Amino acid sequence: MREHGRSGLSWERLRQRADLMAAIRAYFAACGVVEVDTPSLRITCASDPHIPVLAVGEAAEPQFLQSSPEALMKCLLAEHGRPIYQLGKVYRAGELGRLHQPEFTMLEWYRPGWSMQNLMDEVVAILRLVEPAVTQVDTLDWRSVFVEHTSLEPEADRHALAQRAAGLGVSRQLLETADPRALRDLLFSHCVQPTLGQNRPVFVTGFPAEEAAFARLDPADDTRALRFELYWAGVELANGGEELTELDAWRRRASADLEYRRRAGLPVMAIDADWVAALELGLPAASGVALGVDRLLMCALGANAVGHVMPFARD
Amino acid sequence: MTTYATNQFKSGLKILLDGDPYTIVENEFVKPGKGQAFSRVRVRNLKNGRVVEKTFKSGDTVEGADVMELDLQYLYYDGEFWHFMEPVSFEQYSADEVAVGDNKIWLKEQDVCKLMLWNGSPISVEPPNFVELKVTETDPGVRGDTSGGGGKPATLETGAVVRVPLFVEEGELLKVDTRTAEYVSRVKE
Repeated sequence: MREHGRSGLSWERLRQRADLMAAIRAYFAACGVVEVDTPSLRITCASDPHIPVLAVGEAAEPQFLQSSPEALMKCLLAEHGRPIYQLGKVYRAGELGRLHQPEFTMLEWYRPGWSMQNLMDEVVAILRLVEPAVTQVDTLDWRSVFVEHTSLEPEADRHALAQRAAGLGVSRQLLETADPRALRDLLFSHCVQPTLGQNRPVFVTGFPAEEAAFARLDPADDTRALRFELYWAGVELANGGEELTELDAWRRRASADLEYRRRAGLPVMAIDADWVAALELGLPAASGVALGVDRLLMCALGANAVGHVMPFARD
Repeated sequence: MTTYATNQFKSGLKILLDGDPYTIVENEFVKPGKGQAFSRVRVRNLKNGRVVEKTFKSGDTVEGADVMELDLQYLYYDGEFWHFMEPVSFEQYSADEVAVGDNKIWLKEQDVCKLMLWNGSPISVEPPNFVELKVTETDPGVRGDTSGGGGKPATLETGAVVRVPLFVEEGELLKVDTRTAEYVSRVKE
């Protein structure tokens, strides 16, 4: 438990945090990626139903603390077509645990004209800022790691997935109500995730189209998204991919998210008019990624919880 | 009836799972990169002390367990139940063999114990950390040896057997640590 009035961090830890932020800024300055600071407070927010949003202000006219700077950074991409990054605080409602704080520092950046692979190489360069020994990062296929650690194919039916999940000590309520996708998430987070990047960081790619978020689908195989995640010591550090640039496809995905929210009784927000306008104006082909800076520091320093590398973290 | 959502989970919370009362030891929020969040908790069964892991969907609710801890005075054993009394209200509670378990060897009349009650009935009995008990049986003391080295077994008035220094004699009152079952000192009456 943190004492009132105390940050919970030593001066050395505070210095290490500051050094990482400075190194990130120096890296991007050296390669001509420009820092931007888009607003944290907007009248709408991410539609992803699994990101719990933090609404503030009057209930009749709520505003939202942003869970990522994605939408407005895409406006800047459409408007200027230049590489940009944002390093700042983002917010999630009710996320608190060893790897979660309701407010944390995210590094998000976009590279117009870059492929996902180019961007993954640059993610490794950022990793090297804290861990110079990281030279090569392997890439694992989502489907293969799922099969390897669960002995099931991710396309297995609900019954088979539930049976496998039952052995993990899952509440009856969850087992009875979860749809196949939720069971797949459960198996991935319980059986696969803890094994990822144990010795050194690894990428996972080949995520299924349902988990594309706002990444484009692979033109060679439209059942897969051009999206990647980075894991180190079982901790998800970054999430990125090639950006979806078609307005129609974007509308379909955003509407599906909002429909899911409606059915699940979650807050339903307005379609993001800024994001729509950016797509109408024309988003250049680009790759983008969001990286959890606190988690990166936690892994690099061998700390056990993000709260151990963040000042004034919540218990 | 109280229910708790997963975002209210924290260590020490008492919940009901599959009909048994549990206390949350540790709560972890688990989330894949994109997708549903889960609460993974380590919980201890308050009836048998076993620790298990359980996963809930974020937002699921569980029933709270009506569990409370009371400081009660031990009165007597009737051959089947151990009887306790609340010292202010004089309300009495009886605990069975399962609830008392291995701690029965530390229960001395008048001592104040911690009882965990579930739906009003005792499910566990915790004796004081230190109890004073009379030696009912031990080998004769060795005169002049006050070093405390070596040691011998001594049976106490409640049936507990502890290792004591060689100078301890029958009829003496001893202070014993119930958590480790170790002799602490002699007590002057």
